Amino acid sequence: MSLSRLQQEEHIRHILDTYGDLMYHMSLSIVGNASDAEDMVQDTLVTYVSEAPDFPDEAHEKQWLVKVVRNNSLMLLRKQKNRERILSEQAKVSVGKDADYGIMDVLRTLPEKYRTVLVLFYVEEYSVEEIAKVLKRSVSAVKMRLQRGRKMLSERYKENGQ
Amino acid sequence: MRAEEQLKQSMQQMHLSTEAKNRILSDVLEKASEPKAAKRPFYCSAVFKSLSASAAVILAVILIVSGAAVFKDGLLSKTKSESDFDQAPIQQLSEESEQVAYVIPIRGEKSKGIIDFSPVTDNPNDTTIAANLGPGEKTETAKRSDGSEMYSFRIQDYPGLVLSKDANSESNSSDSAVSLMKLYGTLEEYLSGDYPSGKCYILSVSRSGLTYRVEIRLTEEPGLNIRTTVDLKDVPQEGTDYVVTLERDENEVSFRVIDISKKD
Repeated sequence: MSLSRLQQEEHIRHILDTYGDLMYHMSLSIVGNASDAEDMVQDTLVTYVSEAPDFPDEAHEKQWLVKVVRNNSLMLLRKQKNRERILSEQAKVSVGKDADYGIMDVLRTLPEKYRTVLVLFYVEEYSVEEIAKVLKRSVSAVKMRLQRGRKMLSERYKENGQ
Repeated sequence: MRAEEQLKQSMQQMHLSTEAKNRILSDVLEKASEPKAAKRPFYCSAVFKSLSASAAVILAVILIVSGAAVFKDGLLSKTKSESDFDQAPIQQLSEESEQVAYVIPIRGEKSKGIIDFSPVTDNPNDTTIAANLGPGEKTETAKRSDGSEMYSFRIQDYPGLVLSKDANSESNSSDSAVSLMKLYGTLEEYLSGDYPSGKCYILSVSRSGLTYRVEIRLTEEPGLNIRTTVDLKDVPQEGTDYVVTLERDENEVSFRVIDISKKD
């Protein structure tokens, strides 16, 4: 795909406007801090510009972006040698003034596989089938993660006195 | 309010700010334009334009004379294979690198082995070549699965994965080569289907006592290059699918192999 700089800029802006928050939420649920999540969105777009295949439709493009931002975020976690730094920065997540810090803290205590499914289902409103495609898991596996994740989230939320 | 509803509400209040979007856009565009900035022809032509006509003639004569000298010395008369030979990835055998090709020794043979090129070419069909190993430099030519020549390479050092016969081994020299090329297993979902599935590639095999330590790479997920090891009791068979059961650490991209067995 050969685009002029202006076309490329418009295209990337369109991707950012359309899927930016989706990628950001996905990454935020994994890396736990806003700064790293923004970096992961950026890395994903750099990969998109340099390596993305021609997508047959927007659904495939969206799936690709979610998958790559998730993998980038997981790779970042893996590379982080100093886990303490992450934990301390998790407290610094920039949230809206009305946002509930408690629920985000609880979310971060869940295993990544549950966080991802919960965010895609409840925040991004993906269907179970769509999540199964993105994560390359069976529908039944996604349903099980949703069920376990929801239960875990609810129990820990209550334990925290919310 | 239920926890999941609270989660949705809180998450939806988190957005990429306009400043963040602009910064990301700017950085992405900058990185996208980096290769173009590295192009040299414009620079060269600018240098020539800045020269006077007489200086350009003198420079051209120098270039022609030095070019002829290079040809005379035979520096440009190397064959293509020799040129490739100098850059062959196999030279990196002893280094920790993504571009490492692996040597898999043949049991009972200290001087022969098989070179696994799959990590280099990322094609499991481009893996097979038998090579004479040992000290000193040797030249071998690898072939792609379609028969075309891939490149020549030089073995500088033998990394020491020797499968020599030992007292504990049930094998003898007649059980032939441990042909591990083109082995790839099928990762199947574990129990509830809650674990990674897809193909994995076996990168290397070494031996410890009666078990074979197999390094596998999971390649299905874009952007991930996960490696892990597994111990096998049987000699891996060429072309055999293996079922590998993995357990993923929470919050980590690492896996613990808890079982591996031949696929029925």
